[in-house]
Amino acid sequence: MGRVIFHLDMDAYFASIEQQVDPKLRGRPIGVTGRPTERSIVVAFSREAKRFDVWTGMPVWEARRACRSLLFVPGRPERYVETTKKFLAILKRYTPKIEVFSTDEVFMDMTQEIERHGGAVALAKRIKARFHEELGPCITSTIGIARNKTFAKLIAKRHKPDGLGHLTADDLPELLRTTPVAEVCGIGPRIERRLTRMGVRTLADLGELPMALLKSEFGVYGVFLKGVGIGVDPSPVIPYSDVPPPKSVGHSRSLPPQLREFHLALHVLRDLCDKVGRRMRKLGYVGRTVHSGFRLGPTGPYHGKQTTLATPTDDDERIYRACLDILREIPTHPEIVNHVSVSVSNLTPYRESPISLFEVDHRREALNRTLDHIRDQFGERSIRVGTSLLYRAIPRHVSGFVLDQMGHRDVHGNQYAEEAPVS
Amino acid sequence: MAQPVNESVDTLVIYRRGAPHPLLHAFRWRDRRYNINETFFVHRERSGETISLCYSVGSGGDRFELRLDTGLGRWTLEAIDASR
Repeated sequence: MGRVIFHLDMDAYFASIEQQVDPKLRGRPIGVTGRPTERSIVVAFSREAKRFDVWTGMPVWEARRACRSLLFVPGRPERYVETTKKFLAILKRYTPKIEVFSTDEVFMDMTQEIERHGGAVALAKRIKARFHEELGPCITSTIGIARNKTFAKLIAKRHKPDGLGHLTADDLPELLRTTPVAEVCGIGPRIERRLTRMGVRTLADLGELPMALLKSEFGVYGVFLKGVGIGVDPSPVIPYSDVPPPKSVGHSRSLPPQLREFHLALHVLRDLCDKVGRRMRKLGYVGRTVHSGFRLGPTGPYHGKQTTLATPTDDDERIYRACLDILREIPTHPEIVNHVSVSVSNLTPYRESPISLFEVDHRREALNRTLDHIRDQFGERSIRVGTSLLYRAIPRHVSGFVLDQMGHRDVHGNQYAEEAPVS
Repeated sequence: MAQPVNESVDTLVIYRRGAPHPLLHAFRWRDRRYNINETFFVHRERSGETISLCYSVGSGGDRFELRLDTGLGRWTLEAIDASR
């Protein structure tokens, strides 16, 4: 018997939570934003809003134009984090093999579980019923069932919202024949264009191409493409408890207009270094390579460089000084920047790092420990670097909360927090 | 739109075995008792060591947001949305 993989995708997640919290919002088109100013963006639309020409990440002013009756609701990240923890706790009752794909999507390997639950579909229905009872009737999910992750996700997408799709072996040939390649997660517009030039439009077309050709065109990625073309994806469900250690820890921030002057952006950068240091100490890592950069506009070019320190560090002040050294080396010296970032890589566990012989390093370490202790007890904002008070604090943006045990990783395993603009 | 209040209130709470959080049954605010008809949403928030439970509940057609500081055992009426 093959594997049984579930892909669970929460429907209009943030918006559905807000509608659960406030019955007045139910059945209405709503958009969840950072701050509901014209310069903010909408990070989630309700089902009712999605009937209009809207998309995630759309500016508020544009969303208002697309749907005049749209209600804007400021996001509350704490609610979304808690709801994710709640639904993960529910899912853990059914299987420990849960891979967190994003804040609102998970894969589950249910191969060993379905028999005692009366089959895959029965199990999926039970999970949905549990969600209804414990999360609330507004917070719904769609489940796709298939033999592998790629096709479970594909099927789920086709049955949204509040749906259940099951791809059987009998259904597979027709699906391959009729599915455009771009519908598959992992095949983006650029790859689609290259495949189209090769005469490939559907998954079945892709499956007919020789492996040797796909490998010569796309390298290792060609193996994935061939597999998808014949309905195969052997990638395992990686339980989130088994996620490998991070390769880097970073923070970035897109800046609101009032903070885009370079000297103000540096204050934000200092704050980001503080956060990076804090997270590294929490994770128990020190790092040697610091990367920093900035972007000149929302889609402008990115300018960044990195430097490797003589000794590893988790100290935010050292990280910030390294950033300043990096920025001095970048030939472009803008007066206005739109986005700043910092990350530290080349990580080693703190307990494996050599102990410094210098008193100044010991004092700095003791200071950091004390600051961490204060924040653990009284909250993250209870004590801060002085320069962060020189600019008006940017409220935590809706998307900037994904940290914690779940973390947020890019495809290279870098743990990263993106804090998008709030205005 | 919910209007901020931020006042301490007396509450009647049921601690039921197996329930994920205390069940808010009623609260008293400005000499008036409000019986809870429906609990819409409950979530936890953490600030340092302080863990709070945040409730969105309905009573008599209005919606109320209350917070329980689990460390101090203190309830606060944070906001009222009387526009239902």
